[in-house]
Amino acid sequence: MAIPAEKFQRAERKLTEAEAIRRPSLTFWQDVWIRLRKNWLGMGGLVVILLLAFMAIAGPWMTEYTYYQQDLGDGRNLGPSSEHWFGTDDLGRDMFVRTWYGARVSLTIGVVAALIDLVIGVLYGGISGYKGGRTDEIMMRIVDVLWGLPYLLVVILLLVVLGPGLDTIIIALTVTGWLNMARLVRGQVLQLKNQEYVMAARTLGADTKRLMKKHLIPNTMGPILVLLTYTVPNAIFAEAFLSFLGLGVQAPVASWGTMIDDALTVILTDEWWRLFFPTLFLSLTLLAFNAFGDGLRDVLDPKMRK
Amino acid sequence: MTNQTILQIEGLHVSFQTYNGEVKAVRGVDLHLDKGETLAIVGESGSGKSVTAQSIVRLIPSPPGVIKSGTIRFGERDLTQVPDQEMYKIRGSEIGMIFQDPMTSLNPTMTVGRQITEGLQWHHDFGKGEALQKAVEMLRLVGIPNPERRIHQYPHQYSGGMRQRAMIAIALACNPKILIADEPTTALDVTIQAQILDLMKELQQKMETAIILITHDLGVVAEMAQRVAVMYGGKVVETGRVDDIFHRSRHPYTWGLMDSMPRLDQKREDDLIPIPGSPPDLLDPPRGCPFADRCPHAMYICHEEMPAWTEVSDSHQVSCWLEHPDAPAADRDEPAARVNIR
Amino acid sequence: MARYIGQRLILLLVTLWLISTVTFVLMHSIPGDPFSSEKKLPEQTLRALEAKYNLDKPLPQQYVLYMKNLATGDLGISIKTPSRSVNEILSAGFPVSARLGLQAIVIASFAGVIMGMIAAIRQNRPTDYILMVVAVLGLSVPNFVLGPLMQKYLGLEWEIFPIASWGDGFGSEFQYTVLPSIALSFLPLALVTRLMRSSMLDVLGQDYIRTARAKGLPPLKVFSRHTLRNAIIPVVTILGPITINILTGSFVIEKIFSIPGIGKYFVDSISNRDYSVIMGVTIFYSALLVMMNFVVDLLYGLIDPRIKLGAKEGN
Ligand SMILES: Nc1ncnc2c1ncn2[C@@H]1O[C@H](COP(=O)(O)OP(=O)(O)OP(=O)(O)O)[C@@H](O)[C@H]1O
Ligand code: SF4
Ligand SMILES: [Mg+2]
Repeated sequence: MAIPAEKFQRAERKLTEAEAIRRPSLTFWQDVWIRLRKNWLGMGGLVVILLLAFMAIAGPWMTEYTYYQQDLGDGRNLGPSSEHWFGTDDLGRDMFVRTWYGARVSLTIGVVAALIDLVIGVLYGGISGYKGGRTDEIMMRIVDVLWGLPYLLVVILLLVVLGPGLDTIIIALTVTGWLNMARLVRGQVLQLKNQEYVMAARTLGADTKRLMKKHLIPNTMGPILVLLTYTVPNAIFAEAFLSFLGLGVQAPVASWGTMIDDALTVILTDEWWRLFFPTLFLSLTLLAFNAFGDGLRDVLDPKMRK
Repeated sequence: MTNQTILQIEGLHVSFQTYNGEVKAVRGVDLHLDKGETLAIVGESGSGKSVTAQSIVRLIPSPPGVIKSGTIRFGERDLTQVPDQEMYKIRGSEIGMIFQDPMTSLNPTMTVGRQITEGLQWHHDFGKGEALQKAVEMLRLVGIPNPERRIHQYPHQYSGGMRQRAMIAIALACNPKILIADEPTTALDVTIQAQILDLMKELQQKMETAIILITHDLGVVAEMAQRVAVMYGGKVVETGRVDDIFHRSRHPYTWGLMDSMPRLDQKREDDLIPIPGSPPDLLDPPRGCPFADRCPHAMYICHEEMPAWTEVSDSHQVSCWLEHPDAPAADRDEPAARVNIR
Repeated sequence: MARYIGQRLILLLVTLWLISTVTFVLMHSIPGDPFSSEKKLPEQTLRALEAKYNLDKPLPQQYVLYMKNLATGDLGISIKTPSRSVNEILSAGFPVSARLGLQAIVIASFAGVIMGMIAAIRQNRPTDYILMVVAVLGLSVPNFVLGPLMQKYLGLEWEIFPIASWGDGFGSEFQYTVLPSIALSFLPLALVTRLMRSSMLDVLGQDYIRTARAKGLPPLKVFSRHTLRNAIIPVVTILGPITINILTGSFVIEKIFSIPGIGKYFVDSISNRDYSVIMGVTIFYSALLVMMNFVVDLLYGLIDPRIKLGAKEGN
């Protein structure tokens, strides 16, 4: 079989084209975002979290009722209807408003507790890891000792002393809650110190700075972010648990925990909406944060990165 | 080919099913291995060396990997067809394997002795004591001092070089006919590398094992192998005896490979000439020669059709359009020098 | 090794001292005295009570007395039911709680390991998804909702399990313990399942699994000797947190199922502010946990040859 002669002419090299296909260099966070968008678990969690946050803000304004307004006449224990979308409780209060008002309280507790943990953890762990040596040793010994304490028992104890309330719950939760974060931050700082040292030895000054900013710091931020995501549902869960023990926020303020606790007394009757709505949204919140945390962890896992 | 051949691979195609599509990692590989010889497989990262080697004993991760077609003759049998039960008997006893990273290739929670004996006990009906004795013998053979004590230790108590020796002991414990070594020295430092290679050579002579040696290091090839197969983009592009490849190479990719190897007569590192460009996308591999996008001599035909095999000599085959009588003569040095690398 | 154990024991004592001191300080920083909430007691009775509980002495002296008693294992007397000592309450409640807790731990770890294993082997297939949904539900439905619901449906409406009484002590009839044990095990089960799954997936991708296969070992042998053993190791590390979980979970479950364990007394003592019981239970449980963590660490050092107990944290 003859092959036409022109086929044997030199072809243009497609080098430039081959080079151009190379992925454009993205910043760390752009990269994370792109991969997170493909992670349906994490994205699902994020969307639900945003929706819940929106409802927590807007929900209480969507009806004419307030969370404390009672109707001791015919308005008690009504099932869901066009009037009261989630029904009413035994004091005739509108469950829809209370559910979303409860969302405000529960989410506030979760987010504020997580942020305070973050601040204390970053300060403590950061100082410990950065100073190193003797300081580090002493600071970490203290953490070790505190680590042995049973978290929720201490929280209960504190609440018995401080008395129940939104602020005291947050204080009690953060008194022991920062340990995890402190340990993690210290570890990350140590790692960063090592890398910084190695990098400085290997590359020129300008490059080191860029690398720190573009890769090292975001990389060490990853695990902290993941832990932060998991802290929120833990705090929300703890608050609900405390409500069950009668140590939650005090009436008429409602959280999902106190609403569930109230509803448990009538679980054997047919007023299913009393338990259903607060439980549904509490569980959904925990689920969403856990899913988002899982997704984030998968996305940030160095092993998954290519 | 000859009656000396113990392993013959023909038309091997291996793919991985991924989310992005089918990665055609190996696309029609032909290879053969003779008794007692060492065949080196070289080629750049991702060219399909490991996949080819692992396909021989069906060790490619599956899913997602599948052997799409091809035959692998081993004695009477076709290894792509033998039932699983038989494959378990062949792996480890007739064909042994060593992997690149000795740090991760040993089970951290099992003593080294146990890791050697478990293969022995599976393949031969060795009792515990007998197997242990053989394991001590193997450790001594691979040059681990104090084997009676070492046998009860865990991998983390071994150094990197010692772990690779232990891996070799595991792979050779049942005296296999073929040893597949996938970059056995890449993870080790230079002095240890030389020791491990010497050990492999020594044991090969003692046990008359044929070796398939995968490596990036042409120095290792020169040291160890009799024959070489050069792989690129999931295909073998040139194969021949070591001197055929090192001195009479006919394939532009092999030329590039040789030029990118440091030589003693070179003073400055800048003189190393990496091959510009990147390997073909195996999700959508080119119709023609896989090297065409980067080949300084590429012609129109190269992009359209895969070149046939040309028999340069008895021992030396090459797959390149330059061998075609109508092709213009190619000057090996001229175009490469013209390419601006940085 | 001995040095390590010594260090750990010291740490353990420090922790215990810390928790008892903190408990003491907290409990005595509550304004008023424990009897102030009671209906007006006659002056004389109040004096007598205060004398009985040493409340008339200065705080440092009270502290010394309390610590002294603690060292001999005496946790004091319940304030609300003065006929019972805290030790009595604990020794009556402990067998019950221990039974419940142990059953829950056994369920959580066995079922969790198996579920996680199956999920990993069937990764990204329907079985995996179903198991993961169950695990996520375990994490997100609180046991104080789950318990009552199980009681209502499995117990009352469909009558699958009896919910009546626990009986007493450790030797309650099994069928009465099923529901509470399952309800209590749900969250730890979810934790174990998730951990086991990811640990198993991690191990399955390791090079040494490929080495084992390259030796010719059939899948079952590779699995039992190499995969399972290595995958289970991390699960041991969460036995500590799981115990804590079961412990606090038992407050809820014992209360809901009216089980006469420590948890129920504890919850009751919180609602009627029985400070000496709160203190006693807190200290007792802290001691238990601290020791549990210690045991887990030792265990971990035993099953993972790479862990050298007491070795300095390197690199
Ligand atoms: N499990 C897998 N899933 C998807 N693709 C894979 C998998 N394993 C290998 N491949 C693909 O197969 C191709 C060949 O891989 P292989 O490991 O054989 O390369 P190699 O020549 O051994 O490279 P190296 O020198 O880096 O070891 C690569 O492009 C790789 O992306
Ligand atoms: S076939 Fe063409 S493109 Fe391929 S190596 Fe030969 S000359 Fe280059
Ligand atoms: Mg390879």
